[in-house]
Amino acid sequence: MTITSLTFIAFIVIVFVLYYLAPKKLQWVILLCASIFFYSFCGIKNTLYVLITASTVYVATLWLHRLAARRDNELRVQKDILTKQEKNLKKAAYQRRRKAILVGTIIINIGLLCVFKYSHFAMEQLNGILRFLGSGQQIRDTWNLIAPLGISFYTFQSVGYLADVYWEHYEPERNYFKTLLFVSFFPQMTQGPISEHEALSKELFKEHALCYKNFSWGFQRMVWGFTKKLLIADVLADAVKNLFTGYAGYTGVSTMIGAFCYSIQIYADFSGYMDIMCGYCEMLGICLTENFERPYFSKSVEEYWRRWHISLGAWFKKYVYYPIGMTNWSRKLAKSVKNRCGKYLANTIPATIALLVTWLATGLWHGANWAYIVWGGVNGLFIILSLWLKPVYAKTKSMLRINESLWIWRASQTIRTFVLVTFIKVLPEVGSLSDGLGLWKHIFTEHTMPGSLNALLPFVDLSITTKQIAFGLCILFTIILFVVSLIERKAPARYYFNKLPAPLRIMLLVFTVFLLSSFGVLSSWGKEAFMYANF
Amino acid sequence: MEELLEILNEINPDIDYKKENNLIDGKLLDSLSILTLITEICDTFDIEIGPKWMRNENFNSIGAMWKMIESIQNE
Amino acid sequence: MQTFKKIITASISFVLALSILSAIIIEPWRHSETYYYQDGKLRDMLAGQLDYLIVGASHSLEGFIPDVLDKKLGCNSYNLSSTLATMKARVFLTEQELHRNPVDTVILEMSHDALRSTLNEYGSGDSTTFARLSSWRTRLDFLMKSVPFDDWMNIYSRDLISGLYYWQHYVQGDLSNAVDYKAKGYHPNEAFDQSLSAEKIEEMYNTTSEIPEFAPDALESFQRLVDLCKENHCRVIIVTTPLTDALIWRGKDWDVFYDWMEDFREENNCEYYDFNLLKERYALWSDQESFFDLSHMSDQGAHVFSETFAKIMNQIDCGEDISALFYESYAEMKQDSPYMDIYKGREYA
Repeated sequence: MTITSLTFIAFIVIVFVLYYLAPKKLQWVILLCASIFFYSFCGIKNTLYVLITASTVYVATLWLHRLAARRDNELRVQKDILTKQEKNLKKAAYQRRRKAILVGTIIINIGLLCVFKYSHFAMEQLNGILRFLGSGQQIRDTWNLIAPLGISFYTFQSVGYLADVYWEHYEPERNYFKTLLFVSFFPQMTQGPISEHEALSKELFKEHALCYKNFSWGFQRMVWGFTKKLLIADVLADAVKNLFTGYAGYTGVSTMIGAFCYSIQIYADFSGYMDIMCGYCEMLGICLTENFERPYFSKSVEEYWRRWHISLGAWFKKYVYYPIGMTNWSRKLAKSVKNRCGKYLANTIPATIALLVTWLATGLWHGANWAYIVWGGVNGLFIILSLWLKPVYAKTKSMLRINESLWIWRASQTIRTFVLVTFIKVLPEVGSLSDGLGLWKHIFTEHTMPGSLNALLPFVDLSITTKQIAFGLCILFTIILFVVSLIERKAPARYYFNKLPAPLRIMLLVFTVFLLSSFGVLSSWGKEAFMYANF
Repeated sequence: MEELLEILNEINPDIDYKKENNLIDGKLLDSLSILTLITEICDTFDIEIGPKWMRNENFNSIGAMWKMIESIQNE
Repeated sequence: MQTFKKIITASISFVLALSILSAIIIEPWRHSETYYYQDGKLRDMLAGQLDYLIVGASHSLEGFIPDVLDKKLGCNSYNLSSTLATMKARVFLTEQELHRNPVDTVILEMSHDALRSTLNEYGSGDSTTFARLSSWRTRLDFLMKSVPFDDWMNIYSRDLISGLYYWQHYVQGDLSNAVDYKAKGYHPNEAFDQSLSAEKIEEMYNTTSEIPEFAPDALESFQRLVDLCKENHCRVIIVTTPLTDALIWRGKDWDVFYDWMEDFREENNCEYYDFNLLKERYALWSDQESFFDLSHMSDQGAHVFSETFAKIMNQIDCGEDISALFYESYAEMKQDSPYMDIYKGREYA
């Protein structure tokens, strides 16, 4: 079921009506039925894998909690009988059992993810090694596996929940069907956000009364999301495809402009999806975690990754970066470095290792090929570099008496960061790693200046009037997107929009829906899948 | 508590730790600062901060951090 | 209750406002002379009189002239073809006319790419068929029976675009392309030279694969179309209209399609004529004058084709064996192409 389809629109309308007709205590049941229906509609096999994840995580979390409760009970009862050493031994024994459950469940779920997403890549590498060793044998990849819809997202969300229960952050959900809803909640199935159980369950399972503000604000956000997707992202999609296949025939300047178009496209696409889903959830009274915070206004690569795909960054920070940074060997390394080289390096070196591992893993999550792994590594490298050069930057700024509050300084930082992240972003999108490096090389080595508008934007097809109008609307709405982003530094744009008189608001919404229904639908309705839905 | 305040001031001296109670949720301390903070607390107070304690509410204020340190010491 | 009322009021206001805006854009176009395919009313007027139908997509829309057929065959024909008409849409329109006319012959145009899965081209095919229906009841019937739910949006979108184009021409004062509905569904084209240069002849011979994979639901609907005609005791004549020599020249798999059609003809006990294989084709129509583009005839070409078609039908009706008039395969036909002389002689102008 594509999000930009009448079937999906009809589906969410029906769910909305049933949700508010149902007794408030059973609203979550409606969401569960809707989620299972949504997932089954996309393929019955998909439902099986979601059930495996939900079931294993449900059993594991209850078991972990039961063991923790039993341990605490035994320690409390035997508090005066056991010595400190015996208490530690008991804790360690329970820890081993709990760890085994955690590891086993993670292996099942991450294992499924790896089989679907990485088996082909793994086989390619194995075959490469065999060729390198001179063996004539090659492993044939005949599986042709298609990854279940949203497996990267719901697996990570479930593993996060499992880890939180293992770490005893909160008690597990005792109702299987509520766990199933947490894993399979359809608005976040295909592209996130990756939510924490504590936050999401509060939203999913509380009773929601029909509220006009939620309805209208949510609807406005949905319309804005569809606008970004259909009038910006999908119009740029064809141009970007042309760029990545034909950049060798374009100038370096045109190629860089095309890369900027890609940056706008992916942001409009991904954040558009978020707006649609967050807007719909708002209509249901459910608050989903935000995934974007005007990322292209960031002043550094590090800040960018705190504002882009926020929930993924938060997941990797909580479940990969901190655990690596807090391991015993990391602390021992920090201690030995501190003794030899001082505090600064003692803190920076373990963080560097943790960042490198985190970013290589992030790259791998995004795609099963070397281009994405290198992409992750490059992002990590920039963040690590900024970490190492922090004292140098601070000294240089102080020497040059740079006033960081000046708008021109902030604007230059923002533009620099936008260019940098665009450059990094295109690397894995062209095809293989060598294709991506070829694009980089082309931008820097092809110095011919474009002599006309056509030569400046050779990848944009303006052959027929409707395409010209669609491209014109794309430019207009990109400007509007920029203005909205500026406004949202202070307050949500809808706050100002809702101050307009009601008839004017309705007319603006009607006009936007008209544009979506005519040029938006013509460009792309149902044609262009959401980009992050492939993960 | 003074030692803890000293550690925090070394990490970021621009924050008023006596008043601030949104250090993590308000993104006043970044991820490197948090790792540094944990390492320093573990070394200074000779404790192990396990993942069980890695929750925003335990690090949002100096008071919450001190409470966490005391709880770990009493475990 | 107050919240519920507010939401209902807001929703109704929104839907009403959108409907009014849509009506303002679409309805002037729908009621104007430039409204393409607005032949629903004409067909309503002719109901009960038609005995000869032509059903297909743009190849037959621009190839078969009902006036010529009426004169040469003594029939009362109508061209039900629409650009990119899906198989389901053809079934729908044919069913409508069979139920209210004493039809005894149905020509089913079948081009080499008529059964591909993307025939609907994101709703364009369905929107041209939708445009020909004269009442909202028929339109709803068409949507429910023949259009996938998601494609309803495409029809709405194309109607909006058509409406905007109408307003643009109205404002510019050049509403000049009124459609001639006296042509009974036929759409005439200008002629553009489609002939290949010597270099292209050399380069392009048997280079492309023109026959797409057939979509199962399109196949099913095509079978349904044939069955429908037979149920109504109609003579079924499946026809492939002429393509340019240039298009045939480059394709290497035309006989895949021809063989499939021959098998279909045998299984269904109906008639099939591929006019690309007519031996007289090189004398009758040319790439220079008879075509609008690679696969659609010009008005001049359509006249010649319609007359030729009528002549052959008359010969068949007189009991003549016309098999000698046709090549047995595209491979055979290509040998006699004027392009082959140039290709074999490797002569360049």
